[in-house]
Order: sequence, then structure tokens, then C-alpha cells
Amino acid sequence: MTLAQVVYHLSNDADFADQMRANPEAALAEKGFMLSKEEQAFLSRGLHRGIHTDGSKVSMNEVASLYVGWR
Amino acid sequence: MAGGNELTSRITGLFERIQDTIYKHWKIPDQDGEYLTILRQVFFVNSDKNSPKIHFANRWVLLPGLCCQAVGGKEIDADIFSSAWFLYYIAAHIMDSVQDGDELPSFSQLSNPAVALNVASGLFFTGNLLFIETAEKFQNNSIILPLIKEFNQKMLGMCDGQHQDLTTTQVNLESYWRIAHKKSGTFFELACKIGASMGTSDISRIKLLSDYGLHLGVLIQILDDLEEWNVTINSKTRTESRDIWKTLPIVYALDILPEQERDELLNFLENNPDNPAIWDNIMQKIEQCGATLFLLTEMERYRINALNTLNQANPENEAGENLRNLLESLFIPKY
Repeated sequence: MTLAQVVYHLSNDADFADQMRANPEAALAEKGFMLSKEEQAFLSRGLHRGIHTDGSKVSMNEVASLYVGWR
Repeated sequence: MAGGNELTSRITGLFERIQDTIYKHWKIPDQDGEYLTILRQVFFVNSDKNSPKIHFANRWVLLPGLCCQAVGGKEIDADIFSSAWFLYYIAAHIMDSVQDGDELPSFSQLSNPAVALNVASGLFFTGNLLFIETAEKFQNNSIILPLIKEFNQKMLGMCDGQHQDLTTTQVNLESYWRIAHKKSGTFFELACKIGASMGTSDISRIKLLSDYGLHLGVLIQILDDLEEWNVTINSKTRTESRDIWKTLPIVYALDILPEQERDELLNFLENNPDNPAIWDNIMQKIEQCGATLFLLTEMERYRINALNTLNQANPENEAGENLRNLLESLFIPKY
């Protein structure tokens, strides 16, 4: 659940998002969140995949549209 | 597609090897020819010797053989288990489609749910026949029989997971992951475990490859959710949109949003989902709460965990590369 909470705050709290970019450990500690190193790595990769090259956010519909008939 | 040609070539080879093994059970004297013909069509659709177009969707049939090879065994030693597992895979997919009210294939009267369920039953029983045949063939039943027993026990567990999925109205993230592990995760874990067990007695390597299958299976469940999302979003009438309630983006949103916003989202979903304006509100809430980032992050979790467990199993080079390619076939590089 913690990862979900961190993602929610990243998406709704600009100050927290800025702190996470600058110093993730301190940002997480200040909010009282505990993420393992592995979870931080997953989140980092998720963030990388969730941004277009122009900096705009990838939407759910964009992700889902890639998996039409994915099988 | 990374290694797509190599994988397709392997699928072709495997189907050529196992075709006679399966057909043998579908040529029973005095049985109704039409039913057995449908079974053959379902199993060998796009892959019959007489119609040699291999569909890449069949690539999961390679899992037992590749896991066997990955630990030093011969791919061919897992052929009967591959056949049995794949029969169960097709049968489970048909039953899942009927239970979820999804569109069924239009050939061989499968669009009739009653016919589809009967076909799925035939596939399950054929899978059982193959297991019995395997037990008879191998002298060392101390390996085979426990595997067959575990397979059936875990299939029972999958049915329990499916029951929870069908009957639970209030899904949260905890129950979502529990059901995803119990259903899709377990099924792919089994494919890898039976394959690895045919190639080695090293319990730690078998466990690592089983875990690879588990992570792969949960990842596949997330992709199924994305497919469900697409169907709902692109449907003109969303009155059946209740299926989308159990997809990861909605489950996450309902679990993480503050009470007032969660109630608003529930209200949007429950009341008149066919109204485009209401649907816009739903999409807005989904994006605002970070559901896309959460989904992408969880996809990365299962991908990295699958890769790590595969690497720790120290797989034989060629099989390891093909297992990596199977995993990467789920990832489309660019939006």
C-alpha cells in the first residue's frame, strides 16, 4: 500500500514531487513513507515510462491502446 | 519483437512434435466426429500441419520446454507436459471468456457459451489423459506423480481465485494482488515448474524458474486489465462497464482516493456510465490520482522480478535468452 500512497502523493503534491526528484530518501522520510531500494527502482522506471519525450505525461488510454490484441 | 522469429520457429517445431500425441486422443472410435473436430480446430487453430500459420499468441506453450532446457534438460522431455498445460491454458481462457461475458471466437459454434464450455471441458479431460500418459511413460513416478498432484491442487486454487474474482464486489489492492497471484500467476508458475522439474532435481533452480513464471503470469493479468480497459473505453455503450471496476487502475483509484473523491468516482461508475460527460469525469479522476504511474510502476516490478529470478537460476544460454525474449515480448518500447 505504501507504494500506492507514494504514487498518489507524487501525483497530487507538487512539493513532494520536487523533493522526490532532488532527494528521494529525505522526501520519503519526511512523509513517513518506507520504500525499499527495489521499490524505489520500480518507481524510477515507472516514472521514466510515464513521461513522453516532450515531458508530458502518458495517459492510461495511451498505455491501454498499445495493448489492443497484445496476445 | 525481440527474438520473435526464433520463438515462432520453436512454436512451429513444438506443435509438429506434439500434434500426433494430441490427435491420438481425438480419434476415438464411436465418438461424435463433430465434437472432436472442434477440439482439433480449437487447439490447432493457425498451427495445423495443413495450415502452417503459427500464431505468436501460442508462444506460452514454450514455457515448460524452455524451463527444462534452461536447467540442463532436453526441451523435448517436457513435450507432453507442454501439451497438457497448453490444453488447460486454452480451456481456462475459453471458460474465463464465458464467465466474464467476453466475445468468444466465431468459428466452430464457439460463440455459443454452452458449446464453448463443453469444448473447454473436453480440453481439460484431454489434458488429464496426457498427464496419465506421462505417468505411465516415466519409470520414475516419484517425480511425475507429485507434479501431477500439485498441478491439480493449484488448478483447484485457481478456481478458488476465479470464484473470488467473480463474486467479490468490493475489490481493493490487497485482494486484487491476491487474486492475480492465485489465478494468472499460479498458472504460469506451474508451466515453468513442471518444465524445470523435468530437467533438474535442484530445488532452488526449480523455485527460481517457478518464480519467473509467477511474475510473468501476474504481468499478463495486468495486460489483460489494459485490454479490458480498451474494450470499455471504445465501447459505445458502457452499461457492462462493471468489468472495469476490477481492473488495476480503478481498484487503485478506489483504494487510494480520499473518501469524498472515492464516493464521487463510485457515483460516476454506478450512475449512467453511458453518458460521455460522466466518462470524462472518470478519466480525469483516474489520471489525477496517478493510476497510470502506479500501473507502469507495478509492470516494472513484475518485469524486473521476473528477470532477476531468471538470471539467478543461471539458465543455459539459448533457453535463458528465449525466456527473456518471452518476457520482453510483453513490453512495447515507445508510446
